[in-house]
Amino acid sequence: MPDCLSSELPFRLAGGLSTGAVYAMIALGYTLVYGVLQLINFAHSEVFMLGTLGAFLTVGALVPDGGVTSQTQGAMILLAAAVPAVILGGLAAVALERVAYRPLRRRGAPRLAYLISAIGASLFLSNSVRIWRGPNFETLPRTVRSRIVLDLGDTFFTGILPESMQRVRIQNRDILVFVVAMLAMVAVDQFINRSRIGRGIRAVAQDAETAGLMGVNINKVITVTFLIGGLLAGAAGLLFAWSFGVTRFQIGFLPGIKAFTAAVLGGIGNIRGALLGGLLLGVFENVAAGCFGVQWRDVVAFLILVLVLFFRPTGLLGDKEAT
Amino acid sequence: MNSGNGTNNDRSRRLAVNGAVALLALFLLIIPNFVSLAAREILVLIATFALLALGLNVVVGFAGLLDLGYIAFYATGAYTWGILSGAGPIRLPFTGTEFWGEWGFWIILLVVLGINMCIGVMLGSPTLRLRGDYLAIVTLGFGEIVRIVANNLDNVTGAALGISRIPHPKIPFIGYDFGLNPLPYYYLLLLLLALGITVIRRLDHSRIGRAWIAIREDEVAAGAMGVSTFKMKLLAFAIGATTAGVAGVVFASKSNFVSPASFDVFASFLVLCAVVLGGMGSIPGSLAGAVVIVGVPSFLQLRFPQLDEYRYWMFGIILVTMMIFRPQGLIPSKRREAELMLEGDPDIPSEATT
Amino acid sequence: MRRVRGTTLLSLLMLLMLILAACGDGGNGGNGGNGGTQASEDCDPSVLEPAQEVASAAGTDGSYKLAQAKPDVVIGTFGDRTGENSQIIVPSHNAMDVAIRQANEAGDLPVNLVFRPLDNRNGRADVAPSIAQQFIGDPSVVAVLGGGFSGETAATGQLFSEAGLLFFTATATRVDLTEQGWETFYRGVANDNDQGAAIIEVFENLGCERIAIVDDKTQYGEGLGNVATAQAEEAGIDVVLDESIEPTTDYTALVDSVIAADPQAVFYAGYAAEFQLVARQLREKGFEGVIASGDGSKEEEIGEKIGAEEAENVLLTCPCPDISLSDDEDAQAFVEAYEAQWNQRPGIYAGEGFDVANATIDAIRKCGEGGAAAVTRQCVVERMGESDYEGITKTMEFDENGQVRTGAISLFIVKDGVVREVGTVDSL
Repeated sequence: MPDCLSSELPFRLAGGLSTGAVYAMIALGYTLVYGVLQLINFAHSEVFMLGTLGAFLTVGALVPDGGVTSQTQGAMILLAAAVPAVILGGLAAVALERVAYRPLRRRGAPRLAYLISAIGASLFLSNSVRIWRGPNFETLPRTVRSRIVLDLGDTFFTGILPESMQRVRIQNRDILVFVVAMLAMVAVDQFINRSRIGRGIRAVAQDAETAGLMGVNINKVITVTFLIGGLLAGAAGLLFAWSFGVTRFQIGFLPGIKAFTAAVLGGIGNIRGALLGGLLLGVFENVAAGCFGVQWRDVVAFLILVLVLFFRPTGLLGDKEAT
Repeated sequence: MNSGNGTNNDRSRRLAVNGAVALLALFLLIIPNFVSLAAREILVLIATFALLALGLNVVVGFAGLLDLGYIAFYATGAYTWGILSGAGPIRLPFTGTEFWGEWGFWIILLVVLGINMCIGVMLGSPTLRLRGDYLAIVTLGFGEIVRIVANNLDNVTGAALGISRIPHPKIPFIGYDFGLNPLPYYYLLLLLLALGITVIRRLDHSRIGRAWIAIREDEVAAGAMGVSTFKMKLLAFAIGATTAGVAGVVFASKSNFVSPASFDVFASFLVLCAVVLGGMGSIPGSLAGAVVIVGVPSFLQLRFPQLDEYRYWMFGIILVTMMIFRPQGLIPSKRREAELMLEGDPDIPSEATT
Repeated sequence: MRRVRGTTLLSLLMLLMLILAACGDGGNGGNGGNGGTQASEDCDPSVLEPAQEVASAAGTDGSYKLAQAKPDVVIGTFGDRTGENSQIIVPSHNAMDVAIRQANEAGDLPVNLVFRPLDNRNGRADVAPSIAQQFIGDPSVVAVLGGGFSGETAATGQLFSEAGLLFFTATATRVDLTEQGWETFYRGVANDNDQGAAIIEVFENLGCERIAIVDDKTQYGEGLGNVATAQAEEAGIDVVLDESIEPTTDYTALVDSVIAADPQAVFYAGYAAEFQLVARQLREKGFEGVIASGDGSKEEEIGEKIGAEEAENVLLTCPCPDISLSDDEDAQAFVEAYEAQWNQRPGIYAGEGFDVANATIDAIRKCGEGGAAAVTRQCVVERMGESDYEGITKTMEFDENGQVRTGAISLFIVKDGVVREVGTVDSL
């Protein structure tokens, strides 16, 4: 295994980080909601799925007949498509909270009820899309074409770099996804720590009852939390749909569970933990796929989840107990 | 409910209930003789899922644990029979009909009880200490692990090709082979259901049942009062696992074929939906739930296959609306009803706090 | 305690019923494509040339009169008609419909044929038995033309065998289906052994020495992948990577593994949806070798889905020659009839579906010589065993397991986003 790690890690790092960056952006949503509600929002993966669908619809509408002619035009279209896709994610998350969570909070329902309601909402959302769009992958028109920006396998590097490094290929999408995830994390971190409503979110996460008595509008705080999580999932959806060029009703399922795992790994409720957990998980499962075979990738990710919960339920950076 | 001091009213009610149960039983016993072959297959499917729902109800309804990987236990049951019967790719001294003889099916039915109990305990002991939502996601992950492992252990489970030509049960002495005929499986499942209901009802009305209530209502308080909460949760988990395992054995022997495709996470959701719709904690409720959730779509599909598209969509709507408007289910259990309607989780800020 | 006693009684009653129930029961020919080519040495698929252009013609919907006053006899089939991979199944069903319509119009049968296709969405093996029982339970059904996919076929073959009902697939290619001892099972298409051997032959022809084989861990993909791996070893081709995937969207891990192993060619054994994602992501990460897949990935829109640039020179094998390219007169007549009825070109396995249906009709015709009453399940199965029906894709003659004897594999190549036929693999 150590051998394998050193030979596989160098060229799997870029791919792992870009996979992990998407996990991290979704994981932020899980972690934020967990902070204020102490609940796992099981339907969050479908918010991400709606983000990919939003990207598909807007990119489809914006790309002219005959396709995109230049990378710049593609970039403009992608940027323009980002706005509605991200907003769709945010709205979906807020609507989800209104329909599937708030009535239960009104009643003060037990934890089990929230989980079941969220699973129901998740099934409803993904299958609504299935009924509307059909069961198959739908292909996005090309905007910014994926290309390799750094190829250490070039003959130029022969003899300079060790052989395992020569397999490193970095694509433009790896860089973009990674940078956007970092920016998103910084923005959320600033928002939570600096803004008034961010203070409210922290107060509710600390002690909802006291925060309520101190005049924090809990409903508003919860709505904003879902909104931020949704915006991030929408952005992640857009990047994902662009990276792989497809959308589909079931596309959120795996990234959703992985992102949850990432949030737990980093320490649920902890914003920086979500980023760290996402990136680590992305790299780890990519390396594991190289060491044990691609089909074990998901098994390794789930095993990490179980092990973390068993040995360190607070996660790497977290302070919330899982028990 | 059973022990009241027999006023006239009580007695006549009990008579009425017993009469209704007897009528229902009679109906279930004779119904397959009036329907088509295809409908009989569906009856077997319903009965299988009723058994699954019965077991999941103990986990979700009685102990309040959300298990999203429940179908994995169904898989382990099915694969155990598949492998031990010698139909799988692996050959060991104790696999194959030579070793088990015509009692094979019945012995392995018991073996699976033990195996699944062990798997349940093995999976449960690290996870049941976690809070509810973590348990849900860990069991979801476990369910996927079981499916992926079954899909990749070429020499044990036959991987994606699965195990085919799994032997059918035989009744020793009279030498009857179940074959592919759905009827004997249907009656076998009814028998297993009756057994399961009897055992689980007894448990529910014993000290264990009361411990489960205490855990559901307030785990910390229950622990403080001397209830061994962890053991009780583990017990519920293990009962669920064994019930699913038995259902899996029957399923494998009926279809004489198992493959990982039958055990995806949506199958777990299906059973969960049955339990929630019927009523968590209510035995008749979860059974009725299975009839509605599995039976109605299957019969509809005979006529309108395109409706299958709406199946999981409907389940989603059912889960959300039930949680909002009728969390106790269609046929609620009296005790559970009060809890689901009233008790909240102190950690989740309720709207009342504002 | 009374209730408990009631349940015990109930259990006993059920036991009784169980026993009662136990006692009461006793039931290529092909078109020989002409796109030959010489073996090359540098593993480059662009040396392959597509065969002649396809003449496409859309016809009008013809109406026809039902033959009256004859007893109805049902020919059933089931498969994925509306699910994710329905594009593999629907054309064969449509072609069966054409064959049955033509037989009724010809009017020489003593019975009126009714076609009954049932939808087993996504080819689910657990739902298939109840669909099979719908056919078995209806005495007017004399033949069931498949199980579309291998999984649903595997789950029902024994049922049909015990019911003595002909079960004749045009599309399920998993090798061991004909080795299960089912007495009524026939297959009118080459199996994955032939296809796996064919793709390796193509690689050999192209001079590929280092290949990767990836399968999708479905019943179809795994079987095909295993055959290809075994064949490659036999042919002395180095399999530098043998991987399986779980269906997902992000195949970064697989792509990295392929790049690291640096094969000259990748063969993907699985279905279209995943293949398209894998192929595109491979190309985007700079994989320049040959990308090939089997019949499960053969889809008309492949160029659109992967991207014309990335899909260029992708190779596809299929035991299904493009029937519209055949110069056989009957085949051309079929293509016309198909286009007239369905307003589209006959897709994958349409020719096979047509032949399977016609071979069955031929068996029914022979039985029907003894009058309508002689068209029984038993008779149809028996006649099928002796079949020598000349079809448009091949002659329907079977070995003792019900596998059709001839079955050439065709090779297709994507050029400018269009799937074009090169020819049969053995003619290369």
